[in-house]
Amino acid sequence: MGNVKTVNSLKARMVFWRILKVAFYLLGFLLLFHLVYRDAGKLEGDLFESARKIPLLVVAGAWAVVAIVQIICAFIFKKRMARIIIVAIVGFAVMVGPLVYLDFFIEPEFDTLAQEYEAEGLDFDSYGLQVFNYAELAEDLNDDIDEFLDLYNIDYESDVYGSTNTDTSEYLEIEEGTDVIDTSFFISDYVFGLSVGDAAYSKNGMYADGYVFGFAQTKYILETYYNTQQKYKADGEDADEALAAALDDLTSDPNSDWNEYKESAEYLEFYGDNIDEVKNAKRYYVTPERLDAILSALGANLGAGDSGDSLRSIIGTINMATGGMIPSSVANSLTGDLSLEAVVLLASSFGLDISEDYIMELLEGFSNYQSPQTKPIFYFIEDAELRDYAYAKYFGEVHGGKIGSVLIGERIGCVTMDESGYEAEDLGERMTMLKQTEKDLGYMVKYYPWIALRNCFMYFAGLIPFTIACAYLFASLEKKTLDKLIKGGTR
Amino acid sequence: MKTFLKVILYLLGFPLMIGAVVYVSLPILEAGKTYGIWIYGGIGVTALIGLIYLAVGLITWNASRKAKTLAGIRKATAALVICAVLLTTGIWFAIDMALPPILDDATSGTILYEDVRDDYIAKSEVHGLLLTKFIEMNVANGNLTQLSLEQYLAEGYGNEEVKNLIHDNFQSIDQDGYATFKGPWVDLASDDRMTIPTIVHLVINDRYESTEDPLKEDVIFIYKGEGREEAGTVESPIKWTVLDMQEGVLSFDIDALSMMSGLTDEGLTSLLEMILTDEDTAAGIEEMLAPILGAVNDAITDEALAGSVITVDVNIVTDSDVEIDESLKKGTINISIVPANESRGVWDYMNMAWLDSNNLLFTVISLFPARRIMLVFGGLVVILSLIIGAIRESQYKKNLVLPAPQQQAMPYPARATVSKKMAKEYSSPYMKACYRSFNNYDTRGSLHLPKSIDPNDYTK
Repeated sequence: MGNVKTVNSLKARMVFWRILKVAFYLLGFLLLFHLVYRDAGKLEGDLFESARKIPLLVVAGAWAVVAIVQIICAFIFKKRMARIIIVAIVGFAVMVGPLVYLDFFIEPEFDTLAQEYEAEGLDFDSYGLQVFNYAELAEDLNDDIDEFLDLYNIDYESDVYGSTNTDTSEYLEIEEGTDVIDTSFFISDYVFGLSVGDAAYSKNGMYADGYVFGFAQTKYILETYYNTQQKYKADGEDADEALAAALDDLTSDPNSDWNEYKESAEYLEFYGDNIDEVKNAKRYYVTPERLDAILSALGANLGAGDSGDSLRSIIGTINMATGGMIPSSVANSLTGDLSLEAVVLLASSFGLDISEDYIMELLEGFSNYQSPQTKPIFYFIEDAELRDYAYAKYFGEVHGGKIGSVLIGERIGCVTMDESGYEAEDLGERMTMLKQTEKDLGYMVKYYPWIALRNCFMYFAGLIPFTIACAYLFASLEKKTLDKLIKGGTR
Repeated sequence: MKTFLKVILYLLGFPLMIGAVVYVSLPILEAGKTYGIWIYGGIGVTALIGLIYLAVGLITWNASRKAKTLAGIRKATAALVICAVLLTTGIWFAIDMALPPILDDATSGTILYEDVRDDYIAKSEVHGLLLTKFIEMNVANGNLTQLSLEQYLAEGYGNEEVKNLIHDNFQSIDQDGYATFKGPWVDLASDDRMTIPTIVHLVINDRYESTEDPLKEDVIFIYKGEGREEAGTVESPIKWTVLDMQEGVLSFDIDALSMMSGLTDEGLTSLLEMILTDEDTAAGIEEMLAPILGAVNDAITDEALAGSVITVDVNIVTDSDVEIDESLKKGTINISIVPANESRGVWDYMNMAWLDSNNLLFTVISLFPARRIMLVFGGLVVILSLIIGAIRESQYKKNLVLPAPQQQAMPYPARATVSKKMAKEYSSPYMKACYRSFNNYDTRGSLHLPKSIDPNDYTK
């Protein structure tokens, strides 16, 4: 009976050592993984989406290295103590390695960065402060970028609506870092902001009709716009005036590259008279002919029947109050013959000197369409800097206005039927903020993942060898107990 | 008594869980009562899982009844517990992983999994109201004429006429509406990017004719309202505008009194002030404007403009309007642009798409009460399974007949009774070493050693 008790107690002891062995093994890397996961999670937002994974990969890598060394040691070393020592050393090394990288390689980088920031008049916290405060600083950076994204009604990554352009032509989505123009797709040898960030382009090198800017492209457009303006200002000139003059030269000179291009087959294929073709750009904006058709429909309906009587009655009432403010020709012109020309004549009866071109220019703000398959007029501006400026201004004002993310104008951001956006900000201040944001972004995404694991690795530099050693120790005790059990439990 | 207790424990598990799921599903059953079998998705899934658990329970019951050792009973209990966890927590863990992207994809991001998961009752009410309002609109405009409104509401989706009208009208707004817009504009408009250039593009851009779109198989002219000679007998072609795709009425307020500050003509100023502030004058002007607005509305239906029905309405806010709604400002000119949806008995595109798939959406929604209950019951079922296992063990111990002393003395059972599993177990190096260490004992038959080794048997 006594022996039975001894055996049962040995069995229980063996289970106890086994549990301790497993617990200590797991306590090491599994606990480290959990704690690092918690710390890395403090790097929130899209900015750190990839960076957040780095600390976890480092822990997984360290664990894998230790496991491999354990397997190798099991084959090589017969003595348990040798195994323990070797594996503990490796465990210690994989913990200290990242810390050495941080304090001997990254910290000097921070010193260099501090000098750069100081030279550019930007704020920079010391290495020690950032190690302590990295989560809050990352949150501040996220907040700055979120504020920027909200202001301009964009997301960090760009987006593209619709599966085709308006004329059903295809667009090409370019990934960040692409700097070679795909000549099999583009008809243009100039693509605005190609290497800046992810974007969707039409064949003419402009953004696709449904493209909504991401952070990088927005920043590039604003920088291009602002820096060019400042440069012209420094020379006592105005960039907008220079651009207007350049465009005027291109349109007025019959021999300009632009006017020659307008006669080319490439251009006429998409701006020809064959309005039945889907690719014809004239189907997608208000041409004088379409405006005539709209006015004719309105005139025919408004001037006829009860509507005509009511209008005449209202005009009569206003004229009575104002002493003949509205000419009688107004009511008479409301027929199916109402046209753009008739509207110009009517305006002159009010004493307004406006032309058909003026009306079309007014309409252009609302109904503008550039074929995605022909080069725009800006392409032919010879001054490369002014050409960039023209593209940036067009995208910020016109393209942004279409998609509800106005970058340049009196009201910026989400200017739609329901929203009136924000009042335009001081671009100079924004450029300084963007400079700080860009620099912060550059090093924080690179180094903060390492800083995020620093604290845990410092604790676990001691704990990992300890837990490994304990796991080996308990494995040894388990085996000894089993040996006793096998030998009959007499000892 | 113990068998009775086990039955009670079984009933306390899945059957009670099914009852709870039915109880919490009642609001959903009420909201979608006319959708027939579709709304019982959650209850059906729970019942099916209950049946699986019952089958596993019976199998393990049988296994433990036949078990010769305690370990056999414990294995059966472990199987029952694992099954309980997998059928409750496990299933929902998998669904929570898999369903969000599927739902997002199927509804083009208009229904988020999290919204349904946590707010399924409100969601079911919304989807129930989609059908109610649809019927009301179509009874009002004469599309549904066979029964009274109450009868249509009572029969709901079960009424073939209603069901067909829903699917036909969705086909119309989808194929003759949404799918005809080229390029990105309708997607921009649907995603709160309805700018003036976007509207202009959507109005003036050429759209796919039915025959132009390679994705369209046929021209669909199904709406029976407008232009019909006799209700429901003549189908007429419909063109949908971008406003039909959007929800509700587009409304603007123009603060005309403030804008008048720049006027220099005294006569005009006093006339406008009178129009904007005097109730009778405002009513007179509105009366005069009515035929003009009618003409504008007619003009909009011209192909040169929208080519479809859009109603423009103008209202001058007067004292009597302010009395009704204090948030209004006297003298403001309110311009409303009303799409044709309601008059045609059709929701906006998104709601119509939901209504078209409302039966499936109700099935998805009906799963979520089951989710909550099953996750809560997960732990309870595990505990109940453990208790059932414990009862089985106690029954086994009670029924166990102790072997005769001579049988106990036998070092191992007969060769024929040793299972392959036992043979495998005793082929481990530790156990072989164990056999070798037994002094003065022939280990040739060691594979037949019983599992529980009592060295006392061998060292005497």
